[in-house]
Amino acid sequence: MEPEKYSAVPATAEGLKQLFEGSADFCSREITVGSSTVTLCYLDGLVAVNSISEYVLRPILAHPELLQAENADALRECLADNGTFSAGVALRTGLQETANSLLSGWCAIFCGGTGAVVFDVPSFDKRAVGVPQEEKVVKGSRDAFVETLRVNTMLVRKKLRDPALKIEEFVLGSSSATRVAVVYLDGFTNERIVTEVRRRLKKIRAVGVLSTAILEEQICDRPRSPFPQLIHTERPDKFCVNLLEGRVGILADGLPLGFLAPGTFAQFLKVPEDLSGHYLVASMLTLLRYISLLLSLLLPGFYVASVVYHHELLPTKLLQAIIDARQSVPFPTAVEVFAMLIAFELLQEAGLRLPSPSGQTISIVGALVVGQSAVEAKAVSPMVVIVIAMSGMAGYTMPSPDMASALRIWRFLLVLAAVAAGYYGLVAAGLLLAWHLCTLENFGVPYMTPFAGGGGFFRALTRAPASGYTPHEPALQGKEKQK
Amino acid sequence: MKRCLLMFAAAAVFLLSGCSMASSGGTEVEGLMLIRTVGIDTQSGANAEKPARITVCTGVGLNQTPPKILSREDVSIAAAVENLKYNATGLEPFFSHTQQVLLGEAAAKNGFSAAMDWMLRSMEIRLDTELYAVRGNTAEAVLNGSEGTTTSVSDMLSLLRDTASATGEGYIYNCGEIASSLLSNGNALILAVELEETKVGAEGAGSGEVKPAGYGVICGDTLVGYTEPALSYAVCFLTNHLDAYTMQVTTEDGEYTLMLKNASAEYSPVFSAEGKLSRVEVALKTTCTVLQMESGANLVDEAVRETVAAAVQKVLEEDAASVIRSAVDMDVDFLDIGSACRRKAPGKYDAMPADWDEQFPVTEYSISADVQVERTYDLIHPMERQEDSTF
Repeated sequence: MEPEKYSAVPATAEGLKQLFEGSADFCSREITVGSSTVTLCYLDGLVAVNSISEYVLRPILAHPELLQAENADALRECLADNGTFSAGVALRTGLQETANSLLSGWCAIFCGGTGAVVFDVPSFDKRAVGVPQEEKVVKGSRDAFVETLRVNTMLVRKKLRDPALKIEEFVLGSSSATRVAVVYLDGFTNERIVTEVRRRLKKIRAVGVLSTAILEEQICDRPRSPFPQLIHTERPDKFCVNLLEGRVGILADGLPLGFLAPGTFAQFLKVPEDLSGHYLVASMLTLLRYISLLLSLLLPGFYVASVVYHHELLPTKLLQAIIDARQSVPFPTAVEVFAMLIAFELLQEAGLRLPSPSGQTISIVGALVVGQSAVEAKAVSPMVVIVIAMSGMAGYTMPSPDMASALRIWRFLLVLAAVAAGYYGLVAAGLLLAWHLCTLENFGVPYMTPFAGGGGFFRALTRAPASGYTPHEPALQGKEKQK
Repeated sequence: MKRCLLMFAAAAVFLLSGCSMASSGGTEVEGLMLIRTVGIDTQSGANAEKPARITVCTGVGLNQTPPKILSREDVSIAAAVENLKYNATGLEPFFSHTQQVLLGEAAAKNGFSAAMDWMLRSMEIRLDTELYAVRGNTAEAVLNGSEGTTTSVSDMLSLLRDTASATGEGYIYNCGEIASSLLSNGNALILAVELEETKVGAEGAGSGEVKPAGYGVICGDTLVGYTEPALSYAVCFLTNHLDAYTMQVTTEDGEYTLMLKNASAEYSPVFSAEGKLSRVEVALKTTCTVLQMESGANLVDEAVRETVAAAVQKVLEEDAASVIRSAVDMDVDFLDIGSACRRKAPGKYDAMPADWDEQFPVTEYSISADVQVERTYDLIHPMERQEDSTF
C-alpha cells in the first residue's frame, strides 16, 4: 500500500473495500437503519466484535432519532454526536485516515456519500503484564512492558502520576504504521533533547518499524559505534527513574521495551536495584562493575602481553606456574587465547539460541567437559582457561547486554594489539578506545559524561544515601521543576 | 565496512601466525629458564685465562622438578653469561627474576667491583636483588650443594630472607643498598652465608644447607673481613635493622629467654670546648618480653624485672662493644657511625679539626643500653586487684 496515493481520496465504503481487496480479515456488512442503509467495515481480529454489537449496532438500531434521520448527512452527524455508547468516536473524511483507523482497531460506518464515522472498539487480545524476563528483579516491582503501546503508557502513567508526564505519539513506518510515543516529564527534561528526539523520529523513513535496530540506529548519533547509545529496558520502574533523571523515553507499539535517550556510559553500568539496596552496598557493587568492566576488557590482552613480551613484570611464582602450565601446549600463546575467546563466544551463542534447558546443557558440556578435556589433552593451558573464564564472567556483570557485546568486540581488538606490541600495543589500543568513547556524543550530551566533564562524577560511581539523593542528573541540564 | 573487516582479517593472520613476535622481540614463556640465583666466582692458577666463572640455578618447579644448575667461565662475567645461552636445555636463561647473587670468597676479595659493575649495568638484574658473600667457599660449591634434590639454594635463601631480620640472623642487603653505601661511605656490609653439611636421608641426598655466617665487610672494592656470626644480631641492632631477637640471659634466679623488640640505636657525638670530638655516646633502646623462665620468679614484681633488664643490658653493651671494636680493628666504619654523628650535630661535625676517617679508630665509644622488661601475664603470680584499680 502506498499511503500518499490515497491521502487525497475521499472516504467511501467502496473505496475502502477496494483498498482492502484480497484481505480475508476485512469485513463489511450493510445494515438498514430506518429508511437508510449504512455499511459497517472493520478488520477482524483487531476489533472486539462483541463491543461492536453491544456499543455500536445495538444503540444505532434502537435510537429513535437515527431511525428518523432524513438523509445520510443527518444520520452521520447523529451517529458522531450521541448515537452510540462508544467513548471513542471520530469523523473521517479521507480514505487513508479511515484505513489507518481500521488498522488501529476501530470500526467504520459509512452512511452513503463520503465520510465515515469511526468507533474505538479495540480487541483485548494482548499479552498480560508479566515479570521481566531479561532484567532480573531482586527488590522492586515485577511488572514488565508488553507489546501494546497503550498498556505500556498505562504502566508508566501508574508510576508517575504527574500531569507533567507528556506522551506524544507519532506513526512511523509506511507499511507497519507503528505508533511510537515520546514520553518525558515537562519541566524536568531538557527541552533541547525532547526537540531533538522528535526531529529524529520524524526523519525516520522506513517501510516497517518492527525491530529495535530500526529505531536505535536511525536516531542515535553514531550508529557505527558498537557501544549502545540508547538505553533500553523492559522494566517500567527503570524507565520512570530515567525519566525523573531527565531522559526522554520512547515506546513503540509491538516492542515490549522502552528506550531512553540520551544513553551515557555511566548509565549503562547502573541497575535499578542500586536504588533499592543500601547505599553502601549499591556503591560497592557499582564500583565492582567498573572493575569487572576493566577485567573483562583488559585481562586477555594483559595476559598475552605479559606472557609473550613482559615476563619480568609478573611475580616469579606466577610466571613459574605459567611456564609449567604451558610446557606441553603446542600452540603459541596468542593463538591459544584467540581460540579460547572464539570458543567462549561459540558457547555463549549456542547457549542463547537454544531453548533454555538445552542451552544450560550446552553451557555445562562446553565449559566443564570440553574445557577440562582440552586442558587434560594439553591443547590449552589451564591458565588461559582461567583468564578467559574470568574475563567472560566479568563481562556478565554488565547490566546492559549491548554494553557487554561492545566490550566483547573490543576485547578481541585489544588482544590483537597486545600480540602486536605487548603493553605498548595494549596502551595504544586503550587510548584508541578512550578517544572513541570521548568523541561520542548523544543528543548533545557527551557519552563519557561525567568522566569527561560535566557534574556528578561521584554520582556515577556511587549512590548517595536516600536523604541526599536527587533524581535529576546534572549532566542532562534540564531546568528542574519546583515542587 | 568491508575495508575494515579485510584489515582486521589481515592483521589477525599476521599477528596470530607468529610473524609479529619474530619481528618485535616477543618470546614464548615456555622457552625461558627462570634464573633465581646467580653465583659469581673468580678463578686463578690454571684457569686464569678465563677468570670469571658464573653458576646459575633455577628454583624448584611447581611440579617438584629438581632445579637446573648451569656453569660457564670466560674472560668476564658478562661473557660467561653470554655463553650460558648455548646450553643443552635449549632454554634461554632469563635473569629478570633473579632474587639472589652469591659472591664466592675469592670473587668478593678480588673482583667485587667487577661483579657490582655487571649487576648494575645489567638490563635484567634488578637493584633489589639480594647480595650474599660465601664465607670460605665458592658460590658454585654452594649452588651445587643441593644438586639432584628437590630443594634449591634459591628456596633456602628465600626462606632466610623472610626470617633473617626477625630472628636476628642478619639483615640482607640488596644490590642497590650496597652500591649506595659504597658510593656514600666507601664501605658496605654484605650478609655472609656458608654451606653446612647435613646428611639427610638414607643416601645422604640433600646434603647442603645454607646458613648465615655473620657479615662480610666490604671496603672499597674488596672484602676485608667478617663479623662473628654470634654478633649478627648486634650488628643489626647497631644499624637499626633488628625487628626481633630471642636472647637467653642468666640472673641469680635462673635462666630467662626473652624476645627483644622495638630495638633502636642512636649515636650522639660529644665535642670538647675546642670543637674536638671527645667521644661518641651509643644509646641502645629496646623492650623485652619474657618467653620462658626457669626460676618461677614473680615478674609482677618490678624489682625482679629490673634484675632481668640489667642482665640483658649487660649482654647488649658487651656485644655492641665487641662489634664496634671489630670495626675499629678493621678500620672500617661499617656501622656508619660517622654519618649518624653528622646528622646529629652537622655544624660541629663539619668544624672538627680532623676528619672522621682519622677520628674513627681513636674515638672513645661509650655504650649504654636502656632495656624495659614488659610486665607479662603471670599465671603463678597473678596481679592483685587494687582498690583504686580501674579494671
